[in-house]
Amino acid sequence: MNASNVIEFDGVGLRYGQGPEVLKDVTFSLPSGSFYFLTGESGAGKSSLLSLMYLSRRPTRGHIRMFGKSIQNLPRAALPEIRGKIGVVFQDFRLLDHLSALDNVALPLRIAGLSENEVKKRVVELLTWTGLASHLNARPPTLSGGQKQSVAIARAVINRPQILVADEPTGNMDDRTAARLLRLFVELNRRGTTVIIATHNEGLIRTFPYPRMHLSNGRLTLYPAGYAPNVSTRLQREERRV
Amino acid sequence: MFQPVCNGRNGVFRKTSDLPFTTDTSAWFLPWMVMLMVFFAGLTTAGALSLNSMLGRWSRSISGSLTVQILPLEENGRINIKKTQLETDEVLSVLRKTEGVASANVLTDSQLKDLLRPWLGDSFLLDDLPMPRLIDVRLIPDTHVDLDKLKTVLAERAPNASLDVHKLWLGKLVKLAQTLSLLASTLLALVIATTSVIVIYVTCSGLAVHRPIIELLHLIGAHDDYIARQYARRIALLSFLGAAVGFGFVLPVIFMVSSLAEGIRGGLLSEAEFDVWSWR
Repeated sequence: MNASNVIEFDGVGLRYGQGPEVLKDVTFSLPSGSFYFLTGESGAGKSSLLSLMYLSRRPTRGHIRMFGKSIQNLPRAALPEIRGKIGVVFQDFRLLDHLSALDNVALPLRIAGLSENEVKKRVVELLTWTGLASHLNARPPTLSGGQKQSVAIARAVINRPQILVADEPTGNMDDRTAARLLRLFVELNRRGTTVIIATHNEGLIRTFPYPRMHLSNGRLTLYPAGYAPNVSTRLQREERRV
Repeated sequence: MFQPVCNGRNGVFRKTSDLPFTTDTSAWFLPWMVMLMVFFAGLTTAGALSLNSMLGRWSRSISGSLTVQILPLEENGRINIKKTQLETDEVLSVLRKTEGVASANVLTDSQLKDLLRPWLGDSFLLDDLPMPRLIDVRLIPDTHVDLDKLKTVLAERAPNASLDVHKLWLGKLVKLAQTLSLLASTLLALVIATTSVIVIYVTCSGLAVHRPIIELLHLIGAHDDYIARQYARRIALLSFLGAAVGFGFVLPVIFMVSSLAEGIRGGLLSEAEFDVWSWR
């Protein structure tokens, strides 16, 4: 075990109920401050792998260590402390419809117990930067897909997490906005945040040359920056569509 | 321009909740249930406290007093007031020399009439009835009075006098009141238990309804108590609303019963106090 690794997977397998394994013998370790893209066909297990990283579920087999702590035997009461260090951008945003954009983004800060003045200052600053200054009090149902995604990303990064896990964070954005948000992730990464982004957007991966983890049939392969895996015809079709 | 939204402090008094409680219909009946429970609990508590107060007074009456009754002496179909008075004086003399007796006072005619008025009303019969003489005897607390000896002495020196130690009839009433008090306490315990079950049910159904949001909050790093505080705040607010209305309903009812009890003073309820200050 390397002390500088924030995430370590060792022979991890995951299955839902009695179904087939969606992740098979996944082994990798991510050093602190690294930046990885996670690619793979639809249904390859990207979201499942990410859900293990943000501690939404525990593996069926194998071992996971986060920040040097083994997840297997970690008591439930100890999970919030680790989860608080992980920012997550969900594929379906998971915004709370009854709260304003400001309140949605403020959630991690309030949970962390920051003062209301500090919360407002930081949230307004970030939402202004993402171009949502005029939508602070807007509720998610009134926002466009791209705006919702911006709010979801703002919520994930507002508390300066040590790990940022994003599942298709730029899926509903135009290329310009997507590149701008990726630059935010790069900036966070420069400040020490470990970033893992699941995406189908090959253009984005080419613009930001970072290594990638590629999932195929539940098995993970690591590729260095600039190296494209031998993707299937189906994936190529998806990439063309994106 | 940024307009502050309705955010309070990040504590118990924060105005908005992370959970959409307003859409949770399962909690809507809580204030109504709490209102009813507080109403019943208020009535039961008032009843139990009144009974306890009455019990205390009756118990004090049993242990602290006696009554001596001297029947009016009849001679040739007429009341001999002089002889009755002599016998009364004799009884007073015996009582005042008896160890453990603090005081012995003859009840006046008006006091006797007051005692009979609840049963006979202000009837002219009260003036015509041959009234016995009643002596109210107060005992020194925590001293033993030899009642058998006192009865013997009174029988010798005042044959028309009889000693009433209250214990027989008052003892049965005390037992009845104790049973009623126990019943009231049981009812109160049931009301509290029912309210607790309702609150637990509402909380559990609320947790089930908002499960996806709770899961999200956990993933963002929320501890259980962060979420529990929001539920506690919500339940407390709803319960407070229900309790306030229930309390508002029960108070007039208690005052109404109190007024009715005032109207029958002198009867058995004379010792029952519906005044809050007497519930000790």
